[in-house]
Parts: sequence; C-alpha cells; structure tokens
Amino acid sequence: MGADKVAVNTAAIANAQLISDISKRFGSQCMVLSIEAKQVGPARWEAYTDNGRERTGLDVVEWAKRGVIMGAGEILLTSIDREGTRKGFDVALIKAISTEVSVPIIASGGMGKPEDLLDVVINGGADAVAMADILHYKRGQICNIRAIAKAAGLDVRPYEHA
Amino acid sequence: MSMPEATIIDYGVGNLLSVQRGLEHCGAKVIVTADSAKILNSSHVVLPGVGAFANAMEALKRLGLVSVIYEVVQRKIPLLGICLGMQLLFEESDEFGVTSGLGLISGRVIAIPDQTALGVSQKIPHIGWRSFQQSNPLIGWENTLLQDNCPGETAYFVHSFMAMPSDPKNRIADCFYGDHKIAAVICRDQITGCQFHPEKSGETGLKILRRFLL
Repeated sequence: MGADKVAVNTAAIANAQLISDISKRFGSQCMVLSIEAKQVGPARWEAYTDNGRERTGLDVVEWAKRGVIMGAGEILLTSIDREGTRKGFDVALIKAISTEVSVPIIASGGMGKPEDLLDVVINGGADAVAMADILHYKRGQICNIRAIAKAAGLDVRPYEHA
Repeated sequence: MSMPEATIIDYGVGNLLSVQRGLEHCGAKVIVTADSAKILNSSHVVLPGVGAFANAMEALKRLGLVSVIYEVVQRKIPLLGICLGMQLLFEESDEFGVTSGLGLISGRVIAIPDQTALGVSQKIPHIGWRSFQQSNPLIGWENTLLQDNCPGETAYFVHSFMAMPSDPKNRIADCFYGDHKIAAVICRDQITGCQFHPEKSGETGLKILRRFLL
C-alpha cells in the first residue's frame, strides 16, 4: 500500500531465496538487504538477526556479497556496536562492505554530529546515510546537515524550501 | 475546463499511491484500475511501474492490457510511462533475459554499465537525485511535458536499467550517471516516458504532472 522498498534481514537469513524472489517480482531496487553487524574481531563482523539479538555465525562481508548475487539492490548496513551511541559510524565496517559489493550502501548507526556523515561517505564509501537520534533530539537539522555536506563537496540536492 | 480524469493502470506491480497523490495534488480525479473500459474512458493514462520488466509485461498480457494500451495510443489519449512504465514502452529489454516490450517507442532497454568509460566501478541501482538537461538544446522542451522545467533541475531516480531510444528525436532529456548519459525523458506524439519519478521529485516533478494533465 505505497511502500517503495522493503528492508529484509531475519527472513533473508532464514531463507536467502526470498531475496531472489523479491527482486525478480518487484525489481532489485525494491529489495534492500538489511544487515545488522557486530564486530567479533579485528576487521571481522558477524551478522545478527531479530533486532540485533540473535547470532548467525555469518561473516558480514561474505553475507553481503552473497546477498548481492542473490539480487539485493541496496544494503542497509547497521553497526550494532555504534547504534544509539552518537560516537559516529563504524567507518571500517562500511568500507569493508562498500569496497566489496556493487550496490549502494546505506550507513546506519552512530551519527552523533553532522560531520560524522562526511566521514562515512568520504572515508567509508557510503552512498547514503541513515540518521534518527540526531534529528529526534535536535542536535542537527536536515537543512544544515545538507549544507555541511554540500560545503564538503558531496553531491547533495540543493535545499528546496517547501 | 472540466477536471481531468486520469487513470493509473493497475497491473499489480509497484507503488501506485504516490503517483495517485501527485496527480490528485495537480487537480486530477484519479482512478486506479485494470478495467479496460475505465482506462479508455479517461482523459489521461499513466503506466506506472516499479519492478522487473519481464514480470510486468507478463502481468500486462495476463490482464489483457497490452491491446488496451495500444487503443489508448490510437485514440491519442495522453500516456505517461514512469520508470519501468517508461521502459515498457520500448521494443525489448535485457532484464532477466530478453523480453519483448510494448514497442511503442523504437529502441531497447539495457543494464546501466557498472563501470564508467574510464573503468571506475559505479553502484547499481542508480539511486538518488540527479539533474537533467535538454538532449537537444536546439529543439528544447517547447510543447513537451518539460515545457515548464528548466535544464539542470533535479529529479529522483531509482533504476538498474536504462532505455536506449533508437530515434534521437524521441529523446528529450538526459542525465549523467558517472560518464554514462541516461535517457531521462522520452516522448513521441502523445506518449511521454520519465525514467525518474515525477511523483517523488518535488516541484520539478509536479510541474511535469501538471503539464501532462492539461
């Protein structure tokens, strides 16, 4: 009833065929693979399910690559370690995936200040950034975050007054 | 002038609600249907589409809508294809194997290259806001749905495939993704196709929808 995309995590890990089924029926642009990643060693992350509660034993880089082969058109990559911390994104995690797959990556988890966006886009190779807490608690506003991104040379749309 | 009665062809793929909202915002009465009589009775017809080409063509055939769309064109009812709906207007597509399209615009639909001409890899799908330009500045946008738009305005794209019209006259706006030129808007007579989503492109898109409904 009006959704443009669906983000799938737990159900895709339980049945990876679901990724192919969704992308064949609705197009890969609709099939966003959501990955919740928890660091388990130096430059190693494990995929979790059920809102970050259950371990899967899957290596995040391997799972992301497999998901893209199966038909995922985009990856929403959340760092469980950073989510809600306001400490900035897990740039190493985002970079580990963005350099390995051909689809756009949405970085999620940890945006504490507008400059964190620059870090994860410029140094992590993120194609998009998800933010919540920074807006909820008014530490940043969309228009000034956009202005900071533009000033740093990122390709963002000029701000349009409603 | 009476209120335009626009029909959005409902063939079971994609998100129709935002298209409906956009058209209503621009003053149309909107019907979402697969009923051929209702489609042929409307003043404007939108072929929406988000999804995969083969699946969409199969759905159009199953619902008996292919001949209805040809009839719409025959009767010169303005037809607007959006995103996959634009791609379906072409002769064939490479998405998940070669599939025939409606063949209303000559040309084919191919995957967006995942590398620039210089060999730099680029992300597919192409997602985001991109500015679009006149394909042929000598001809411009007079008497097209882009008449009220200015070159360089930005619109929202989300797609993995791109249309390659074989007749340059059918191509009226382009955008660049990396160094690949992508057909953003195509038209022939009463048929227009937008690769981007006018219903998700703010005022830029609404100008196109308003012009469509005239």
